[in-house]
Amino acid sequence: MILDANANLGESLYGPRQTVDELLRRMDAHGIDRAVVSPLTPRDLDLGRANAALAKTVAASDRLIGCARLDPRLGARSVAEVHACRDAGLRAIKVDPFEQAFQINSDLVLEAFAACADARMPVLVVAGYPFVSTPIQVGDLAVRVPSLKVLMLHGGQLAMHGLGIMDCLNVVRTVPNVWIESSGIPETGSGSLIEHVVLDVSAERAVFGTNAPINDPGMELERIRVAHIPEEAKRRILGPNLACILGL
Amino acid sequence: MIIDAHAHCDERFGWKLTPEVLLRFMAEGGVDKACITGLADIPGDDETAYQRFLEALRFAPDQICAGYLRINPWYGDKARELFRRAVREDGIRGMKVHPTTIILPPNAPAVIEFVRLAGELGVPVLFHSGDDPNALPLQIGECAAACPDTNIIMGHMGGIFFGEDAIRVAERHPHVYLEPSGNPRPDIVRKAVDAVGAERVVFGTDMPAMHPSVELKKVELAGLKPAEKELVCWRNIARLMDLPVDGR
Repeated sequence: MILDANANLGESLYGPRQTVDELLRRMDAHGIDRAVVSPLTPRDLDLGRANAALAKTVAASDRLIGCARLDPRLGARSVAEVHACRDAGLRAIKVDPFEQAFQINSDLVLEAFAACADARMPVLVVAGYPFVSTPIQVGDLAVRVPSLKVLMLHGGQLAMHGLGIMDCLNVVRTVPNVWIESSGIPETGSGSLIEHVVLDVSAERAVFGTNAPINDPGMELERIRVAHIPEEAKRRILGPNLACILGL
Repeated sequence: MIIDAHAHCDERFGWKLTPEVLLRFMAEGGVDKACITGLADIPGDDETAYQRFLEALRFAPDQICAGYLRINPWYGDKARELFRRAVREDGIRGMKVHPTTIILPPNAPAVIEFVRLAGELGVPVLFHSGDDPNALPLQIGECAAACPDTNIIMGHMGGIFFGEDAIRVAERHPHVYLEPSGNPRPDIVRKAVDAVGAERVVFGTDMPAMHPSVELKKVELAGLKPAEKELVCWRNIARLMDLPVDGR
């Protein structure tokens, strides 16, 4: 059983696009059974409408798990959107702190993330951006909202310099409600982030994701395949860990 | 034939990237030869770094086949003399500049002076580039404009966020070559080849930090014609580094 923690649907303002059929074909081609899907940033920037459309899409599929996009800066409006998404059957929340210009651990957004925790909706954070979602900031959010499950997308390594690896490992080691997601992590070789998380912390703290269609599922599976970690750890990363986080 | 234009071999910062480790990764990924650099900027605080570099190059010269000396321009005349000797007497075939670790941007006068020196000695310069604020492609572009007689390889071709800038710089400067290691985008090699031609794109891994199997996936996804793939995977770097290989 392979679960993708981070796939995308729709047509992005920034170019990438993927229909349900295209995603399912990609999943079939790579043996991926189910995927958590979020709306790509819609051209009209109306995330609420995109979330409502996504809820209808995933309701008609037994392979797709809905993950809402949220602007968490809007106080009561953000909280209301969390509740609406939960009631519509969406299971998680995804935020992009660079796109929406907020710091992930800012007071400005804590109310919205507390609402996510209350709604038992894990939060997927596009992580590794300078200033707004460095690994240590993501860790601080998780400390401030300890009942919130946080997935640090891309291992918090949206940067080629690798300077965030130590902080990421420290966060995973010390903050129990943070997991890393594997898509796009540059360092996949000797002493890679995934290897360190598994061997130094726990095989339960990493999940597989593709970020399709922006990233390629085959290339992302290769990151896991080549990791120098036990086969049982790979099995957990490819499915069971995410199933536990989402309560599947 | 696959030649990695950007690999590392050294022991420093707790990393044990020995020749044996490098050869193991090359075997796992099907890489025939690798051009290496160390982890220490030379001269500097690590007095044995240069000797380790030479020893790595002597370990398996048919596979670990050429080296870029990682230079520290802050040492002025001492660094200049070392580099001249490295090229003329020790068979070093290139220079590596890592702007983040030397704390100098590529367009700093001190760096430009060394890049010109490499050109005078007939060897290329491999730059780390990417998301660090002093390793930006546009800064490398200014360096390239000031050093028209030096071939420049842009390692990581701008990292996660600056791929478009990297391509623009290569379009403006015919002596700039693009090396896409670490970039998670599956279309990056295709974009680079379409923009500047297969003659100016070189395969690299940043191994062992990154795994060659993952990096080679990107070349596969580019759908290159056989002749283009040969250029990218070995002919270009063999020409740039004057390597005695014929592809068999």
